[in-house]
Amino acid sequence: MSIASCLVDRWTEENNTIITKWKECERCYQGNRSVQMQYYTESLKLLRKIQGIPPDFKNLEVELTVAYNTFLFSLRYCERNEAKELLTQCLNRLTEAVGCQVDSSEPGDVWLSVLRTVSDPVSVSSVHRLLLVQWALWLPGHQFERIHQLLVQVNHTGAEMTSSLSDLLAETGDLGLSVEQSPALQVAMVAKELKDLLHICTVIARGIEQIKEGKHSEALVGFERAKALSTPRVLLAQTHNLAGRCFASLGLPQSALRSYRQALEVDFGCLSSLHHSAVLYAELGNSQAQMEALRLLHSAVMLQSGDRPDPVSGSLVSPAVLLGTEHTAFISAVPSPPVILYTLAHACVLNRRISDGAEFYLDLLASLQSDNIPFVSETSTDFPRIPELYLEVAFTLLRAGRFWDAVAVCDEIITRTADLIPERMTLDLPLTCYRLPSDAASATLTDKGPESVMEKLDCVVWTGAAHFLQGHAYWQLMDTKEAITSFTRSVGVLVKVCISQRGGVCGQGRGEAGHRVLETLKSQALAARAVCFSERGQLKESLRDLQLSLQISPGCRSAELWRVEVLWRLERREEAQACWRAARSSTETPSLEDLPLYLQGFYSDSLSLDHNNLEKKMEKFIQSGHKT
Amino acid sequence: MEAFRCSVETLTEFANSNTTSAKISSTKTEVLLTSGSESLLVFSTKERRVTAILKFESPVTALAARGDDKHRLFALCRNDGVYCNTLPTETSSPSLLIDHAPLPTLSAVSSKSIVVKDENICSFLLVEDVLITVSLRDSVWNFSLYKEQGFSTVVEVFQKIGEFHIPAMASKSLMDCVEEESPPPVLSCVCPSKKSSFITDGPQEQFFLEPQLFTLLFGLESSILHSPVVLCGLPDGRLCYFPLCLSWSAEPIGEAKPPVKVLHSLEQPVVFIGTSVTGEKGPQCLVAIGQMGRLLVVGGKENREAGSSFVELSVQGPVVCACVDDSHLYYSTLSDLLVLRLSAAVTTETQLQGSKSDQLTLGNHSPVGLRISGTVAAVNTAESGKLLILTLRGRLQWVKVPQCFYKRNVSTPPSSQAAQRTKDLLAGIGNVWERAITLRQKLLSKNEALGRLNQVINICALLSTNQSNEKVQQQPIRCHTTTHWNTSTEGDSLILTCTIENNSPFTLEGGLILFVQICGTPCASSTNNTSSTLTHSLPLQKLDSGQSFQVALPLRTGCNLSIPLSIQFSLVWPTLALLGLDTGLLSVSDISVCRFESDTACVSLDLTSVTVDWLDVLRIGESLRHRNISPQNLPVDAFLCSRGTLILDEGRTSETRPFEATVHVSSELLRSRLGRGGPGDLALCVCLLDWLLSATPGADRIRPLQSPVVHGHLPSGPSVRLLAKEMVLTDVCNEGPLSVLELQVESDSVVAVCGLHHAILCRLQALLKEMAIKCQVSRQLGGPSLRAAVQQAESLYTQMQESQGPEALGSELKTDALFHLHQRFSQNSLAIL
Repeated sequence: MSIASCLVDRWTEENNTIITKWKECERCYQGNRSVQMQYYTESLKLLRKIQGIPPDFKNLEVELTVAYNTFLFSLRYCERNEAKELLTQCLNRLTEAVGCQVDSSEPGDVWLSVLRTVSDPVSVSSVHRLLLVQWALWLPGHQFERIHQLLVQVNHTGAEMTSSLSDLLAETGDLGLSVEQSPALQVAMVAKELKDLLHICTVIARGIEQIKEGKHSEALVGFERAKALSTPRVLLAQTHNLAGRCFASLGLPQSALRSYRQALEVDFGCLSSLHHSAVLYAELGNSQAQMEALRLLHSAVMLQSGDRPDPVSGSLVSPAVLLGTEHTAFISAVPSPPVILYTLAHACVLNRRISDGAEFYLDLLASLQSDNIPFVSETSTDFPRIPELYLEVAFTLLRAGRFWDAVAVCDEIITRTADLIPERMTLDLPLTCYRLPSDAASATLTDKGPESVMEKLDCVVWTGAAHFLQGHAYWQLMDTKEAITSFTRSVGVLVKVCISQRGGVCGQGRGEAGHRVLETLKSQALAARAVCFSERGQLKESLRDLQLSLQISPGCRSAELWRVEVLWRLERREEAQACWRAARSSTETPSLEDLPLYLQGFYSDSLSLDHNNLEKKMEKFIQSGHKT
Repeated sequence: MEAFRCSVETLTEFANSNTTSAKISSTKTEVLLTSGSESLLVFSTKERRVTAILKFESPVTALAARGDDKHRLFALCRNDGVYCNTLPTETSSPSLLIDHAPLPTLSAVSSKSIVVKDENICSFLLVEDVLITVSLRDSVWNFSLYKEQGFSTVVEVFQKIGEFHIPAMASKSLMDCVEEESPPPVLSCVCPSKKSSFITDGPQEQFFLEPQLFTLLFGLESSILHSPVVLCGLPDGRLCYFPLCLSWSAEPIGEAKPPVKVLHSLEQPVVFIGTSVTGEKGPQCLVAIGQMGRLLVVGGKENREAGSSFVELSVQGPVVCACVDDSHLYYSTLSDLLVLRLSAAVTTETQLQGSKSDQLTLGNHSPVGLRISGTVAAVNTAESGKLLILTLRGRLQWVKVPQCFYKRNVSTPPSSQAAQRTKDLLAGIGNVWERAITLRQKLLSKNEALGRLNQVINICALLSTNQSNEKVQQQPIRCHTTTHWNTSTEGDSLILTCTIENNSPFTLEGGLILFVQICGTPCASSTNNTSSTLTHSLPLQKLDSGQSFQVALPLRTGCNLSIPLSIQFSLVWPTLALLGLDTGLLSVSDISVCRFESDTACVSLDLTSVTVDWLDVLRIGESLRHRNISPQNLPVDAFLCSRGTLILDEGRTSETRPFEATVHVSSELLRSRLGRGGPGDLALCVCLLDWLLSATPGADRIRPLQSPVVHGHLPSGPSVRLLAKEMVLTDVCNEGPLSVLELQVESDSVVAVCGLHHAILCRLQALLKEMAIKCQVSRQLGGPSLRAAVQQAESLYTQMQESQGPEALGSELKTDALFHLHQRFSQNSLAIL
């Protein structure tokens, strides 16, 4: 007897020593993985020692407390199976100690009988602590059903499980755990804290599940309720953030923005809400705010990825462990810096903040070219292909007036694609259109046919566009000769693609889109060359190119006006007049909306004609013609 | 098959492992090896001993070492996952006793070191700070990417950053029975080589590939970003790849394109993937070898058509392990370790046969056995041609393939370079050829010059030996002259024809110059005493032995002749001809321009000297009746004018009586000399005249002479009569009367008389000089007559001396006196004996 109590005392002492040391470590923020592992080992050793003797009710408190501590140490890195085994072992000893018989090895059943049997308050609190461990072990696996059952049993011991799963949060909220502890035995983490943590994590995990299932309003209820809980700031910010996402999904953007702002107010490290507010601002068309948000996000991400100490490395149980990697990734998903930078740069260019956009684009290129491997996360769907990115950069530089830089960036594309341009290729439009996306996914592994054709088409378009942008750069540099060379090269590359239209017309698909870009580019290059020719006084060549351009994509107003001008200069007044009338009567211009950025906005800028002058000229002529 | 003796150095020997699942990995100083058991040995190549043994909990199936600052090793254990452990550092101080090498430290690696726990992981690869694992679960190949989080220094934390799948081939289930034996997937990393750093000293699974081929195989985006591409050779034979740092789902339409693409299928388990055939821009071929010996070589196409060429070859399997270096593939079939030379040429050579044929002969690229059996693991070292192998018997060996093997197989450059190199070589050959041509020309010209010099020296020697004796007739190279008159409207001119005869056995080379120096008599009346000299240089053509060369030299026209003329012939050979200069146009002045002293620059050989006297210019038989020239108009007036007024006056006054001069020669003497004519015969006179006029132009017309009287005239006009008659002098000799021949010159012109007289005397003198040697005539000359002659001569001499004195009277008197002296002198009755 005395031996037993002596042992209990010694074990208590040992446990307290371990915990005291650990607390010191925790205070000094030295509780990193290896230290934690060391304490786990020590604690486990103590537990094994205790378990060395047959289970005894008197030792129960010490044993369960040590087990609790051991589990807490183990949660960070230990294998779940190992912990589960250990827990099962503990439960078995517990049932043995309290003297209840369980036939099933199912933990739920074991718990049921244990909870029913144990009534001694000291033991109950120990058992409940162990129950929290069970909860923590089930939570990352999203076993809400079992957790619910368990908690229901705690609240209404002996009652049949009638409430549905949706009441889990309610059950969790008014969970009547006895968490008082004896001061003699120290624990690594107070059971109350763990319970709160588990509570909020369960709310979040459940909410995420619901969001994924599309039950936004239900999830929102849970989040709203959780805001009242006392939780760590990080998790509170996450609840705000998730609530914001629910609001956004429910079509309440202003509420969503407010939630995001609250999240940021709680914890500025909640970058996900910053990201989502940027997305929301973009949807709302508030580009100024969007850019601001993106800029903040980028600098925050860069700051974090620099040298960030793990914010939860010091604490014993991190929410990430409890939520599981999948959900952690979901809530903290932030695009990688290149994607943010790209979105920012793109937004700047679209909003005519060209010089800022150019700087951001150049930063992006620099980060992509840097030596450490940049990872663009899988979720980013709006990041362009790399050559397209280069073309956008070139375009932006061109718009920013940095012509030589634009030429250099285009040169990069041209040299890279030089080997990939086929001598001649045929684009079979209907064939590519009929391919279903699912087909394409599986077919890429086995056959390289249409996929490689599309790749080649892309290469052709990229090279053509690079030459086209170079031509514009030279044009702006007043070097019409070089500009003509570049435009000619562009056209020369683009005409390598033969379009074979077979069968019906298909509006969708990659092939069609590629074809449209190709044709537009060709038309624009020809028109631009025509302008260069007319500038050099080669009016016949100019007229020929304009005719070709208009033939490829009819209805382009700028090209039509240029044709009038060139015809006028060629003294072909009657034809000029006819064209003028046709141009005036037609109002439709092909939309450039869905075209790549680098093809937009050239007609309005550099190549535009002085319309007023032409108009006066034409009106005068038409009037004089009528008079005569 | 020719075997090569390669040097093998056994580092250490372990117990027989008898398993082919051994693995090696090497860093700069250490070799990690495992035989497929739980233990992993760390072998220090520096100390040549096992420094540490790591004991894992389950068999090690793959390992990788990182020799960076953290000094870590990664090991994959079966049914466990990837371990990361620091390499045990050497802590024990070097042992003092050499016999007892320090024992290796033994340490157990617990499951705490597991960084990625997944029992299905078959293979892993480390690229910088990214760990890529391949696992097979539910007939799906999962590729997982973990990025190292640099926060914790003691234990590495790897965070999963991506995962994707490709379904395993359906045929895999059929091969279930052999699944156990099939090797795990092979992972390699290929980067586009940058300009500076494609020579890898990085980990052995990291390869470089030249950018062009890289772009063709793995796409534009990876190339632009310099993204490493992870290649995986699956046991079903597929070669998959995915870029490591790209936005995978960045598709315009949004259809999720899996990042893993299949490059090719070997249709047999892949053993090795690497790159080789290092060119200027990096390795030019992607190489993969299958377990049954199927070899895939992917190279760029030579022509400009975009695309790459996939060539499959077959070698004798089974292939257990393989590695590559710059240009060779080494593979082990357990029975031997073979070397196969890879080249870009393999690609083009066998391309036509198509990649479908299974048993493609390798042509001259046949594998060469190194006669090392039982190799189960091989890695190449930084040194080219040096491998580290582990054999079935547990030997860890360094194999060094001899350099001769490499020398024989000099790697052929790709044809684009080959064309350039061929051009360079051809250009080089052209340059050498040009230089050779010029050198040969110089050599030839030097030879020629030497030959000419030889000839010249021969001729020099010949001429110099012959110059001593005066017998012109016997000289091998002779020069003789004739004169004749050429009549033209401008006046008559005397043409001197010289003929060079080469009777020597040598050839007179072209380049020799015949130098003709014509010296006139010093003009008595001119104030300066210089003689008028005229020089002709005539380049000789090549003159073979026995040939002759004739040249005509115009002397001055009649009125300007200053007879007698002495003509000196010499052969001149300018030494500059040796230098190949054109000597035909050289004159003395040119030579001096060339900074040669004229005497040293030329070799001058005197041939002959000839005198053209009045006899040579006499025109015989042509009387003035042919030339109706009135005496007033005769050029003689001009001539005489040039000679002085006195002579002109004298000429006028002497019209009544012509001047005459006589010479007496002993007829006996003449007879012996001329060799004909009897005593007292008229013939002797004729003979003498004939001899005298033998070289005179126009003499042929009257020869043979019928009478001892010859009429002629001088070019300047005055007619001349030569008369020879025999007479007897009684008082000259003591022995009795002496028969002499009197030769009389008569003319109206005193100049003609004087000149002819002088010429005759000169000729006789020359004749008698020859005679004097032959005949010793001793005659007793009569005293009184001799005395009288001497006295007369003395008095003449005295008078002449007086007249030449500075105190002489005026010029008129002086010439008058001289003339009288001459008259007396020419009337001298002395006879030549």
